[in-house]
Amino acid sequence: MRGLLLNHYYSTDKSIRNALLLTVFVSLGLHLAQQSIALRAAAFVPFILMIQPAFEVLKHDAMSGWNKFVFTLPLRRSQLVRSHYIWLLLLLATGTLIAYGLFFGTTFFIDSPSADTFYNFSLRAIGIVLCMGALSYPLTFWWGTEKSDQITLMSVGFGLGMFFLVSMGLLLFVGADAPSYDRIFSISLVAVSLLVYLLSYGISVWIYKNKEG
Amino acid sequence: MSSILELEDVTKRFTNSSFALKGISFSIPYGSIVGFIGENGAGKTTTMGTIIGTLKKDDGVIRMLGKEVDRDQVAAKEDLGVVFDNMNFSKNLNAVQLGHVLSHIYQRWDASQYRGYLERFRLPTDKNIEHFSRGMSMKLSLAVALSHEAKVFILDEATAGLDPVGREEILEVLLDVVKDKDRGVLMSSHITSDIEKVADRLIFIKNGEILLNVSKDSLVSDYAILTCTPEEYQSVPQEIVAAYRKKDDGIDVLVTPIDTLPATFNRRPFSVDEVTLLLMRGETK
Repeated sequence: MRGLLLNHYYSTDKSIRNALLLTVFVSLGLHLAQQSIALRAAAFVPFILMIQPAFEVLKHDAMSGWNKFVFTLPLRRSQLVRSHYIWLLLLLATGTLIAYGLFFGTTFFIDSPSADTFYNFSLRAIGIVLCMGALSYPLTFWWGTEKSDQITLMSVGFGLGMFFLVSMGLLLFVGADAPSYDRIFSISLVAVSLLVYLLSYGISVWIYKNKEG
Repeated sequence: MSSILELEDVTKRFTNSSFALKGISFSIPYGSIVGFIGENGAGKTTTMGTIIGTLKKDDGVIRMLGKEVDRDQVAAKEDLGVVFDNMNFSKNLNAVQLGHVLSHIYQRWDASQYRGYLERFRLPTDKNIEHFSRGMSMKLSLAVALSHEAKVFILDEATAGLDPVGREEILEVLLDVVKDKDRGVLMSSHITSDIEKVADRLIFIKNGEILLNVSKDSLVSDYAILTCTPEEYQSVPQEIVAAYRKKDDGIDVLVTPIDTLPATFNRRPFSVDEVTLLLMRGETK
């Protein structure tokens, strides 16, 4: 597993560095704007930018033929799949560190419009990103990276779809006027997304086990 | 246990193709280099795919080091060294980074041996491998295959596209690999002269079937190619005709055994290339 993660890292280290710089630059600008809408964007941007290398690895693997060579390595197919799912989680964790680091860093010097807004929107961003990964991986393993554009569009649609689905579910069962509705919704979205991500991992393993190089 | 790798009636069919492997059986003795010869689409890569696990065989048995293996057996892959016709490593890595990656994957990864091969092949360690020439790429693939104490080496067109010096370098390494008689190599190549130089056994495959499986010594001593007219062909004992090919200027005939060949027929020296052409383009008996 460590070898695979290391390979993912080496394959995309330049992109990770670029994403880090861009994330810090854009997020900092948004925080300094001291606007509620900018703070919401600052909660989203780190996650959206930082996960790009996770999907880029799939393209690199296909273009180089590494996705064929790995079948000859002493690794279980489930390990190959797991390395991708963990890689996305690691990038997501990096995005979380940057997002919260910048938030706490900037609020130390300037007033933030609302900490709750930031927490809620960052959780929602995590939920949407997890859903995007949950659809992207099995579809890429099944269709190949040639259809990556369609897969990206579908995964964005799926992420937003899950967002509205969880929102509608909560409105039905909890009601919008429930105390701390925003917090309940954000946590629920992350919880549902994690379940979908786990389910997606199972499906991807099944696809990979039947895959031929 | 005299074979390091054995295939027994291995079959493989594809849903979108009429091509199939039709009961492939052969073995690679310890200390042997076996040349796998056939035209494009004959089934070489498919056969190798079933051995290395990129393809799932439908039927048959594959034994490595005496143990039956299937494509999901992780431990067996420690003993397998694979070189494809193209380098298949992530292109953004350099050779040192690739070594780091593989040291976490192979239990028996030998970093000093890997460094030794990088030096021997004069491969740069700080250059991204996407900038490697074809020769450098194939040498890097070979260095990887040789650095984790593999026992069975599968090389699919590993010398294709290399200059004569690069090819010779790779062939020398292969001879070195088998000299202790504890490893074995299966190599396919369209450059039959390469195979002729190093292989001690030759397997000819066509349309998913093995046409001929013969030791190089036996091919030299027990086989002959005759070029004769249609009339002369009629007088060749049919039981010794292994294959024949009609040409504009006569018929080429591969015969074995040759001790019953009438003295009126002239035997001529032949190359593996000629046998390949005769088997691939001609008819077998």
